[in-house]
Amino acid sequence: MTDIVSQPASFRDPDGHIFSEGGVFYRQVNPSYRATYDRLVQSGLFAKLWAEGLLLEHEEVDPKPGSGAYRVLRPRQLATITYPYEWCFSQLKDAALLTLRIQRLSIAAGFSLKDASAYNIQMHEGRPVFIDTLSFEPLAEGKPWAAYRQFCQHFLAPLALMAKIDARLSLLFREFIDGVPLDLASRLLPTRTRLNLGLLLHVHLHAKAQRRFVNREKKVAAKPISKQGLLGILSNLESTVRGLEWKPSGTEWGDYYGITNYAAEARDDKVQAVDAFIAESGATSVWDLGANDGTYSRLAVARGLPTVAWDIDPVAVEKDYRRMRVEKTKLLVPALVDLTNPSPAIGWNLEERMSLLDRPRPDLALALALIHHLAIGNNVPLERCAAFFARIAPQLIIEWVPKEDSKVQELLQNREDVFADYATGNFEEAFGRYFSIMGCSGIRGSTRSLFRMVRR
Amino acid sequence: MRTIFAYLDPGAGSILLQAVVAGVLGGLFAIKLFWKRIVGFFRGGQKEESDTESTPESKE
Repeated sequence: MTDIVSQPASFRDPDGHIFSEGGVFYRQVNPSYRATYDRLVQSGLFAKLWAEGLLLEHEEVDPKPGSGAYRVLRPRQLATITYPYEWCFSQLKDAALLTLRIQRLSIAAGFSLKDASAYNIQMHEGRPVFIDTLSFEPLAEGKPWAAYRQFCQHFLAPLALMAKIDARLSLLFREFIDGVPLDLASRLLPTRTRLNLGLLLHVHLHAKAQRRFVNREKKVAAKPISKQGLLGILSNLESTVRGLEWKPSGTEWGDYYGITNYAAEARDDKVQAVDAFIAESGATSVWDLGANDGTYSRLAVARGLPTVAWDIDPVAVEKDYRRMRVEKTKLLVPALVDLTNPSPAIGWNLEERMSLLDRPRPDLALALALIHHLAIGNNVPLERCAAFFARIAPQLIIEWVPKEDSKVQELLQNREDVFADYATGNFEEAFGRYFSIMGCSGIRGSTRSLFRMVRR
Repeated sequence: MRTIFAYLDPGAGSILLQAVVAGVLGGLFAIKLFWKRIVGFFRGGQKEESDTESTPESKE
């Protein structure tokens, strides 16, 4: 008897929720949603959104007797889960434009989105896709868009902060479970943003309106809003979002592959060695840790393996994502993470958004040009690095970067070398406690070497 | 009587702001559509959506 597990984040909408059975995720549709669901199917809105690749597809399956469900949907299963605080600027921007587009199409079909949460979106087959199938309600004449506030907090405010101040402000998503509070965004944004009509209305004045009408006893009675008014607001939100641009400049890593210590020969040799090890591993999914611009992630992708390209640098992830969009790569998901402080579990009961290590994990992890940043740059002892990688995946391909390497010397140039243990022998011993070493490859023209390991 | 189906709190301030800006933005939107029709007339028909770089990818 397989377990039926209710998905901990899925509890706010009384019309349905997600559950998993035998590792497969389903969405239950409750009787309260029956009329709307039938209307949605008949209207052809689902079909239209599927045809344009905007909504995650599903099929209907038989509900279990006694479950109380009206319908049970089996959506296409996602290869991986990432959250808005792990997305680069363009991923969030595309997610915002996707939401607005869906809302526009919904209105045309006589519906409206109940919510506009950034968590309604996941990366799937190379682009953001809307996954909250039950988020549609019949369009009520004259009523405002209930999700407008949420759209501004989940999309407009964070995008404006990232574009106008710093891309790292997306991390505010981790602290504020319902998007960035508008009063905070309004305070942080430079004054000149008040000259931008969209930001003035939807962030600055919106924040003031929120403050002014809090704790009022009477219910708010606003004058009716026409469909044209709703579309006008959407149109302005869209142009405001499109107008937000972030031009990444060179950070420490931005120009990484332009300025590495790799000569062309060594680089080709590394590519071949990594590719051979990936093939040998027989893995069916990969996480590339410290992927930078995804060069090596694409070796796994070329072999048909779904791959997540994790990196700490927003510039690198942004470049990787833009390239992926242009090349229409389906198996790659670029995402942001600081491995020394990875995404924790957050939300209600600390269960709504999974920690990095609770996500569906891959068969294989790549740790290329990474170990020295953890062990030297962050003072993490080699054995703890090994333990961490062992938690991530049963197999590992890791590049050993010895102390003589110029990049390590760079890390040590302004500090005392307290790393007596950072040596090849200790590396093999420390990792040997968690992994069996299946293969080792020197890299021609470099002091570095590549190891293929399998967890004990 | 008003009925809102959404489980989400729309926020009193947000409701009022929408009512206030809907007029202005609705009007601007109407002008934008009108302008597109004029331009479209002179150019002999063009695409409905503006396709900039940052349009989310659609299946093709």
